[in-house]
Parts: sequence; structure tokens; C-alpha cells
Amino acid sequence: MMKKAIKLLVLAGALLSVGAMAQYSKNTAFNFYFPQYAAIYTNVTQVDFFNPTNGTKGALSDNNVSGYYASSADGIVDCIDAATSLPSSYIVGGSGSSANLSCAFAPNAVTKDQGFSVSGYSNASSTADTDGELLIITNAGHYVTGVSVTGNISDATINVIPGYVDNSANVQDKNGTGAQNVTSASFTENDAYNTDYTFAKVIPLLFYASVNVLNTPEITSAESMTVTWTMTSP
Amino acid sequence: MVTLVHSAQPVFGKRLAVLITAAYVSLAFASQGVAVAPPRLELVMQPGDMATREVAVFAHGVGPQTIEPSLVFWELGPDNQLIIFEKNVSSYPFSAANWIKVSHDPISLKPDAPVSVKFDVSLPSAHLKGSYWAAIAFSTRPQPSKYQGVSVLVNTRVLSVVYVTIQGTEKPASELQGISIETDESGKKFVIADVVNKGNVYLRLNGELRFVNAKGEIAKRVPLPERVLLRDGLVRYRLQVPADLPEDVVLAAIEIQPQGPAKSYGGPPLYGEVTMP
Repeated sequence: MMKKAIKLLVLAGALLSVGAMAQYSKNTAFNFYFPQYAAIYTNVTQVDFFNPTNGTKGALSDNNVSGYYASSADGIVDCIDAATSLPSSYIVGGSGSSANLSCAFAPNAVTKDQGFSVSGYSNASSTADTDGELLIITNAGHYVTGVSVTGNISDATINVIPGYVDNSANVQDKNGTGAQNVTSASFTENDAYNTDYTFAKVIPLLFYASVNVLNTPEITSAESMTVTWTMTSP
Repeated sequence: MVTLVHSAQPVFGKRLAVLITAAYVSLAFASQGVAVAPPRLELVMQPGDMATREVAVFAHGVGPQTIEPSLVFWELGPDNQLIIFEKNVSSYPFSAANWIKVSHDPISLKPDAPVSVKFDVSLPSAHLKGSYWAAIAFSTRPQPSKYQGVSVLVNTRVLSVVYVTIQGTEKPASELQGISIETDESGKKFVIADVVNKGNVYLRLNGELRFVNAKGEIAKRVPLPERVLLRDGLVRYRLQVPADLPEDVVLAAIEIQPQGPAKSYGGPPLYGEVTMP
């Protein structure tokens, strides 16, 4: 009885070994024994700031469709007035005097889907807003991100905040990183929100353009820049 | 000279597939992206050696997409900023880009269909010492503009980092150049510590921040986030002091364990301490 049991065990062991070898052989044809991966996804492909009708340039006139205009009033007032053509929550800042006026505007149209399922991000309710998110997924211990930009937009600075606008039209920014010029933006792991999955983190993106309205920017009908978000687990 | 190979086939091991599937459930809304496995390769070679390796490029739940491979050089800023150099990538002192041959042909990537990308690493016979590095970048293409106006097109890119260390020439060395405590405008306290690379190889830093009370006991331990210290590099830790720290804590001590290339010896541990204000 014992001998039979031993024979069975030996046979089973041999079969398991053959199976393991077959599996090993199959996998080593392409080395997928490495246990690590890294991924970056985004749900925003285009952020649109200014959509002039009939291809006209962005004239600095009252209630211009671009959302900004100049008047003799002080800067912040202009910025607020300009909001008549935009939801007020999109105004994220304004400064300066009539001699040096700068208004900041978030996009008036964004190609996006609904946000990801994110824990710790729940105060971004259905009425809160971002322009999109970066989804970083890696099981390789840590990650870093960087940005490269090609092209530029005349007389405008494109800024990005790793945050979102809450129900009270306030910008929520987890790490207090604040606005950065997108050409040199750098996010750290502290900027990311945790998700329901250990290896997945989300960085919300809130873009806005800062335009010197007294400089009469000649914003044409089709100016764009490309922002490439890069991640790796070095 | 050029090695290539994009073969669209189901190349995943089950374990990896399960891990990725589990992690990516929330991807249903993603509209573009790219993934790579492994994210880094740590090669230890001798001058004149040649090796062929491969990585998998894939995207879960999005696509089809066109992915553009390229070679880049990169560095890390003190605060862990990823700095990418896309032009003249072989011109940097520690660049391995010139030794890596990979096809730059665009890859047609379908959802959940990994593509293998082979590449060669050929070292010259020249006198080389220590570690060099570069990365194979896989970029999505910006989608065509949908609006007539001023817009930002958003693109994604993932790097598969390639480190090459010359066997037998490794000299790992690092130094903790000071530890201090800063208080920001909001009153939050941070432990600041700088580590510099004094050797010729990259190092992987892990460790712990400890808060010690008046009795000499460790009141709280905080693991350090993993950092990579490149040749000639500087790593600056900026670690927030926990809000729930006991009042009798008098000292913050940092201990860092450097690890060398491919999990080799990375030199002695680094230690520093600072009195709490």
C-alpha cells in the first residue's frame, strides 16, 4: 500500500515537473517572468481654451467669446466681469491693475470622460470638476513623472494644477503644489490621490491660461501646443 | 544594425495578466495611454559584450493606438523631477543611448494585445567604468484637434529604462550631506536631507526616518520612499513631520540603505540626526 502511494507521489511529481517545464518553456519564449510593469493613461486628449466663431481672432471686446476682455476697471473686476460668458467656477484667479492686467481662465471646453473611481478624491462630487486625470499604474515600487511641450500659444501661458475645482469653486490641490507653467510642470508622488487599487494613483489636471489682455494677444483660430506626460519607474 | 520586432501576440504570463486586469478595472473611461513591462532593465556587462532583450508594450482598455518608440536620455532632479532629453541623446557623459539599437517604426497597438519589442545592447570595447543609462520611450500620438481654437493636446509616454553597468568596475559610494528641519508658511514641519553620489554607479535608496523621545526610545518610524541616486546625482528628501508625533520627541534620525546596480552592494548605510525644534 505504502509502495503504491509512493509510486503515485513520484508519478504525480514527475507530471507536475513536466507541466512546470512546459509552462516555463512557453513563458521563456518571451520573458514574462519579470513581475513589474508601469503604465500611464489619461482621460483627456484635448483642452480647448478659446473657440472663436468664424475663425476670427480674439478681439479684446466686451463679452468676447474667449471669455476675456479689457476695460478701464481694475484687474480682478475685469476677470469677474469676463465670467459673464463663462461659468464662474472656471475663474481661478486674476491679478494686476488696469495697467498690468492679467486674467486667468480655465478651458471652456474639454474633451473628457467622467473621472476614475478614486478614493480620497470623493469630495470631487458630480458638480466638481477637473479637466481630466493622469492615471499612473505601477507595481515597481516608485515612479516619477515629467512633461515635455512642443509648440506654444502666443501671448499666453498655459498653467496646470494637480487639483480640481470643488463645489464652492475653490481649487483643491492635495499637496499644495499650486499652478505651474506647463512647460516645466513637475508632479511628485505626493500630488497623486490614492485609488481603490494599491498600484494605481491619480493626478487630477486643472489647466488654465494666463493671458495679458493689455498685450492684445493675436490669438488665431488654430493655435495649439502638445503636452506629453511621461512616467517611468526608474 | 537595427533590431526590431513588433510581434502582436498573447505573450502574457497568467500572473501578470491577472495583476494588470485587477489594477486596471477603473480604466474603462481612459481614452489613451500606454504601458510597458518591465519598466527597467538592469544589465551588468563587459566592454565588447552584446545582449538582446525585449520589453512588452501594451494598453488595457484603450485603442487602437499608434505608439512611437524612441530613445531618450533622462536624469532626475533633486526633488525627483524626471528630466527628459530627446535630442543628441548620446552626447551626455553617462548616456547608454548609443549602445541601444531599437526600431523606431510605429507600433500598431490594439487594446489588451501586448506587442514585444526587441532591442540590442552592444557595448564598445572602449575603456568604460561604472553605470550608464538611457530609456526606450513609447509615446502615444496626439489625437487630431476637434476644435478650432486655442488648445492643448495631451499626450502620454512611458519609459522602459535601461541601465548598463560595466562589470568589475563598480565603485558604489554615497554621502549624507546634512539633515535639517524646515517649517513652511502653514506651519508644517519637514525633515530635509541631501544625499549625493560619490561613486560611479547608480544607487537605489531605501530607509527609515525615526523620531526619538527623551528616553531614547523610538516614538515613530516612517519608511522613506524609494529614490534613485544617479551618478553625479543629488537626492533631496523632504519628509513631512507627522502631525500625530508625541510631544516628548526630541530627535529625528534618518537611516538610508543604498543598494547598487542589479541588487548589488551599494556601500555602507548612511545615518544622520537632527534635534527637533
